[in-house]
Amino acid sequence: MKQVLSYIFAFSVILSGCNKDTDLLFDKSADERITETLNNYQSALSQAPGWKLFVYPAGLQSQDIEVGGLTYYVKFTADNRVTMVSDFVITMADVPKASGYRLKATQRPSLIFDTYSYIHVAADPDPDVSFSPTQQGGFGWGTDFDFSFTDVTPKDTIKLKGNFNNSDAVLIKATQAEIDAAFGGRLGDIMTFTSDFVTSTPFLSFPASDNSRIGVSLNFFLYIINFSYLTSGSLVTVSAPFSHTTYGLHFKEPVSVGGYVFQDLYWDDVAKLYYIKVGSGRVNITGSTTPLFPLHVVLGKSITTISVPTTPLAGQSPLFTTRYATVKANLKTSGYNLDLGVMDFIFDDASKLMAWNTAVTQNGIPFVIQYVYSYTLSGSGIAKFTRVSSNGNGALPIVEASMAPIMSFIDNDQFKMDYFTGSSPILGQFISQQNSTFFFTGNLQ
Amino acid sequence: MKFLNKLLLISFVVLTVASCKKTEDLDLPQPVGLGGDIVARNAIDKWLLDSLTTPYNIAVKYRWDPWELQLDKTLTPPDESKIIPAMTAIKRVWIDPYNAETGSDLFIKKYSPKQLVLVGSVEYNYNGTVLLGQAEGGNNISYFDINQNFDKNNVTSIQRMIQTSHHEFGHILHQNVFYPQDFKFISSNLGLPGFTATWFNVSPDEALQWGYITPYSMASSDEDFVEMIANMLMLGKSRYEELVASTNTTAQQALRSKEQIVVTYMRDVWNINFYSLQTRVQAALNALVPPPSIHDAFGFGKTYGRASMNPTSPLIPQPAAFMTIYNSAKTGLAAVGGAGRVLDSFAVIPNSAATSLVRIYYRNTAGNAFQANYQFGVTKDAANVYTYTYQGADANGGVIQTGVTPLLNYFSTNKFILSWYRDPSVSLYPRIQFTPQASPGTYFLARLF
Repeated sequence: MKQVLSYIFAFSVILSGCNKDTDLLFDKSADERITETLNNYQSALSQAPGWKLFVYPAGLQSQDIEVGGLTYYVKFTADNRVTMVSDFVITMADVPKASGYRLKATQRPSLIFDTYSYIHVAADPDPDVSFSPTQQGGFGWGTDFDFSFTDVTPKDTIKLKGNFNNSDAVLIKATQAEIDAAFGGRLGDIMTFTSDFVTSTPFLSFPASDNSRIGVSLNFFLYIINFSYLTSGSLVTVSAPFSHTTYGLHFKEPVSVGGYVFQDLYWDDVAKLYYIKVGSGRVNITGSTTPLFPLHVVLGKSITTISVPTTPLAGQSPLFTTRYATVKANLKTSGYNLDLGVMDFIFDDASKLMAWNTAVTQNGIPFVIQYVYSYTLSGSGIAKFTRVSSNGNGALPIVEASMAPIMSFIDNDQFKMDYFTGSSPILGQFISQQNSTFFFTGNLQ
Repeated sequence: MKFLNKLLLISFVVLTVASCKKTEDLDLPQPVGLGGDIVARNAIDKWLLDSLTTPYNIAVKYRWDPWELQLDKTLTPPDESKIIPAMTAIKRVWIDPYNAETGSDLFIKKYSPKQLVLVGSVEYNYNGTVLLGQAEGGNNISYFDINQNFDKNNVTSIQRMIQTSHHEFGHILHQNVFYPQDFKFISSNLGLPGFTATWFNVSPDEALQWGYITPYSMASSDEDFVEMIANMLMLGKSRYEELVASTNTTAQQALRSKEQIVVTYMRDVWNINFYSLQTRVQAALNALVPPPSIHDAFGFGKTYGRASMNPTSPLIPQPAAFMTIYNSAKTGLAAVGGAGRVLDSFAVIPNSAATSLVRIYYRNTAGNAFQANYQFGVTKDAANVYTYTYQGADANGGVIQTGVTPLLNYFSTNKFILSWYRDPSVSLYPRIQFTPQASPGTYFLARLF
């Protein structure tokens, strides 16, 4: 009996010790907090006049393709509608498109553009729609239209991360004036101004704080801007993804170059040029009639090809012209009936290889005669070429003999590589150091 | 002792209940997303609700949801402007014909898949092919390529999308009541190749020559069965008949046996007249995408550049009045030089904006094929009446001209009204009718290429 009572006692102690209170780490449940976050973001997004959305696609990095930025000016409404313009192509900057969006708790609270709009075009797997840099189906630009919020509370700058391709993106609250401008055609205007400015103004640059020149070039296919400058005789290039805004260009990260740190370029409507804001002042980006850097510094880097067309150019010596005509006749009468086309001298600085590609056609069917040279390039721009290989066409004895009138110079002479400024646009020139009467020019690419 | 036990039990119960107080605050908020995402309903949602969800319990999901799709594939949501046209096409060409044929909407209500998912782009497979439609367990159908390829004015794109519906719906039907076992052995009993996992290496022509309506039919007997349903419905009777006629006898036997089982199955199991359903599907397609004017479709540099008249084709039954003219040309040709040439067929081939060839196909006694060309100037008046004026013949044409004069005269002495020809099965299959204005009864029919 005593034993039974003690059991009863023990049980009652254990059972009454069962305390069911839980101390929550947060004062609200996870569901409550997610709902709150979504609601906060929803009202922040729809209450602002609009937002600048910059997306930096990351999905092609695994294929070694770096692409620049994409701009969307977006207006959200409380009833899940979004209207946008984009700098993807100019028609998308000029005609706003409406579609749906919603906020949803997936792995993280997410912003999903859930019906097709401009933001989906770059993500379209059909390369005919997205003009994918991969030039094949299934990838688009590796961008996103389904993003996670990476911060708990909405601010004026909202950081996003793509849920599919991990693209970085950022929403920056826009003023009413900015939104009105973007939807009023200003974004498209800026795209036109930029493209016109870059194509019509050669050799863009701005002065660094030490007054040395910083070269500026834009890649409009991949949306990447390059800043180039010389450091102890060699070329340094700083690249940044860019996209268009209503005031100019915006970069993914602030760029530090020439003693300035900046993330935007501003368009001056009156002076028709771009400038950088430095403190309260500005630094203009202007063009030049002469190249910024000597040819031998940029050859194989920003300039890869000297292309000799079939029509004569200024800066070609009579000896070259004669030899060229001989080569042309040789190819035609060699037995292969080859018609001479463009000759490209293609330089690659990293491998120090130069490919001399001569386009020919045989009864209209194109072939390439290729000889590959290794080369050295001195600090004063003197190049020496050593032939290392050729393709099957180039190896044919008849073809090699046909090319000899020019090839003997390339094989044996040293050449001064320089600009030829006596024509517009400026050309690239090979000047033999051994035979002063042999020199020729080609278009720079 | 018994009392003690009782006491023990009671005290246990009392203590257990009293010591562990279980009251919990159950007034928690619902988990996020329970019951689906909450979004503001727009006109598209209302249309889908009224047209498909309320009447048929079919949900249409068009807002982006990666979890419905392959998570590793680059895909896009559909463009809103495409949704209602695409779903209208599906409703009219898939649901409505079944309703009309069964006499009520109960059949579709009961058996239709319950969720349709719309995707804007195609899905690129790793083997380079693209995915256009997909179904899961008779419950869900995904339609891809709504943005680029769904054109409400293009019958091919509508056919492709709706074919998916008919295909998947076929699966649902046979999963409810299985088709006769005999179907599985039709091909193998005839000594034709059996089902294969590598069906995608088979060309459409090869498949047809082996008694399968499409390469995908070769995947399994279930696929074969539903491909027969989907293709017979979407091709229409005329085109289907032509496909069957184009293949060998054994394959024809296989296709006919399969067709017979499908028709019997639909009749006996579901009380559906399959041929009538086929006509309704074709009529719905015709109504949805009316064909362009024949004057825009047939001519030099237009969609169709050849109208081919073959008197042996069962699909284009020629009237006796015209056959009299044709046969006199046939007799005439055989008589030319006593050479016994045989007239096979002829074609009208526009060869410039203002001229057209009438090309005669014939054989000599050795069986070698020849053709003779006669050129006509062609004018079309304001009322779209065509006049053919004889201009000349090529060398072969000169040789046999006296024989085929009845046919050449038929063209040069008549004025023609051109129109689409539709047989009672209202197939969209392109056929043209040349009707002489003065004697409408001597019209002839031709297949357009």
